[in-house]
Amino acid sequence: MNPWWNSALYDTCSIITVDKMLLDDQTLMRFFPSMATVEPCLDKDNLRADVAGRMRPRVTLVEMPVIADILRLTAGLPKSLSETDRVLYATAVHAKRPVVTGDTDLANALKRAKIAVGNIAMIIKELVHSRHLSPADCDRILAALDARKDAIIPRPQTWSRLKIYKFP
Amino acid sequence: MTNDNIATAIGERLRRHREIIGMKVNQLARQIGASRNTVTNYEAGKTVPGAADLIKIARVLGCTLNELVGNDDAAEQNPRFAFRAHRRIEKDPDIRVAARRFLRAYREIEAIMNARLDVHLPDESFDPSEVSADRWIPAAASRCRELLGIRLSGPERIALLLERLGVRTLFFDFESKGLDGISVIQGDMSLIMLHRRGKAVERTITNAAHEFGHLVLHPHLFTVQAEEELANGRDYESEAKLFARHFLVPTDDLLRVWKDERLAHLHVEHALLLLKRVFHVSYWLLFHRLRDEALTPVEFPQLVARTKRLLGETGTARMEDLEPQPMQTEDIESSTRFHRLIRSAFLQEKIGVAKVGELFQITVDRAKEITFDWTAPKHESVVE
Repeated sequence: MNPWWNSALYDTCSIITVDKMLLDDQTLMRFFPSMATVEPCLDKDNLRADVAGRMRPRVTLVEMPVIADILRLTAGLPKSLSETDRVLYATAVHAKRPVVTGDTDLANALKRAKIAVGNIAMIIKELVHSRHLSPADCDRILAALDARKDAIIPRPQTWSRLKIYKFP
Repeated sequence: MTNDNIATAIGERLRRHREIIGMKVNQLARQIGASRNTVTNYEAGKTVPGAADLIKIARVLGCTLNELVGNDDAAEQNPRFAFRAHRRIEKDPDIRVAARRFLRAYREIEAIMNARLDVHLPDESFDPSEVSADRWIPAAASRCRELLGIRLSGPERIALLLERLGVRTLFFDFESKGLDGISVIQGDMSLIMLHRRGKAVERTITNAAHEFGHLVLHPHLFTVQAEEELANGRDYESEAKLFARHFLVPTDDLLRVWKDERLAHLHVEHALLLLKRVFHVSYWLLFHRLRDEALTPVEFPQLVARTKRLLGETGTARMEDLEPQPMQTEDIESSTRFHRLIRSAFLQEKIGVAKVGELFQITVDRAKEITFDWTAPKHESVVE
């Protein structure tokens, strides 16, 4: 199994969601053998120290483009994107890497730049479709995320909702 | 542009942004995890910082990457934004950074929501050598109340009242002893930042009125000449305190209630509890108003002792733990326009969780929890 998200850059939101999933079920790590991101996504302003502490060893840091390229690539992006997401965008476009993000605007911008993009919900959906997870497993994961106040799809978070969910 | 020119241009902008917030080179170096020499070389244009360092520097200085090295001159247009807070804290660059970030956050969310707030702030400044502060300030407070159309109700809605005058108000977390509130003016934007307490709402209300007092009585302090002004010996803090007291508890109303309800016959602590039901402000602020109007002979230390006795408190309780019958306005901290605009933008899918975190200056983890609660509000059944 070598799906698209194994070479992807993860935004802070998605790193937090993976951390929460692993807190409830460590075996889910087999679906995320290779995660990458940029340094600002793990910054203390963005991520609580305990989460950063758990996820830093699991995540590979990717070098960001030079500043002139970051500014050039992000020039037309909407104000609705956070500074960190802008840097992630620039790095993904520069390195032509797919992105896992919880942000619709970032996902749309990446799609326009012809970069593969999805979110954790779409990954879970693909895992069910490929029979790596059962719908019951999916419901369990979504319920656990819900209990941890992490909404990855509109609530109530269930497989029946996820089945018809699209992102971006 | 040659590499040398680029290095010089970046260095100059970096130094200018650092100086705007009053941060020292070694403070910046420490915060980005670099040596003092590294930062000095960046500023002198001897070396060009890499992307990772520039991103950290922009974060630490409270500006965007584009403001720091790109074409966005938003910060350049108003580089001398002025700042009011307690003198000791005023020197803390971290607070200036927080203020700077919130000013930008407010501009951004207004732009995203296309909801600009017009300023109608009255100018009640005066020259104490020409008019008596004791007369001018209560009258100014009264005019402000009139302008806002408030009489006896609603000081707990202080954020809403200030926003009606175009003063943006928000609550922020900052661990610093003695920090209650900060008022900032940058260009045409007035912002009051109130320390989030989680309790003692009464004190928050007092702080908001106090900062409002600075904005209307001392607009000249929000200029680059403020340092000279502050050194002239005039007690601006006392003036703002007096304004807050009269703004929240006008003399005519206080005297009327005092007389009509024959409060002079009560022990002062019980009279204060009844007055609190009328004015919805701090027990202690009401006490100061009674003293202002010579309605009680009780001195402050006596009142503290009597209040402790009334509350059954022994030992050295803090003042804010001694607010009798605290107000139950849990929503005050989330009732600002800033908070509402961000919540609305999120629910309209105009911004995502990461942006919510950036605007509130909280981690994405925390933003996730807050936004989760927005989509799943708490509720309870009214059917028994």
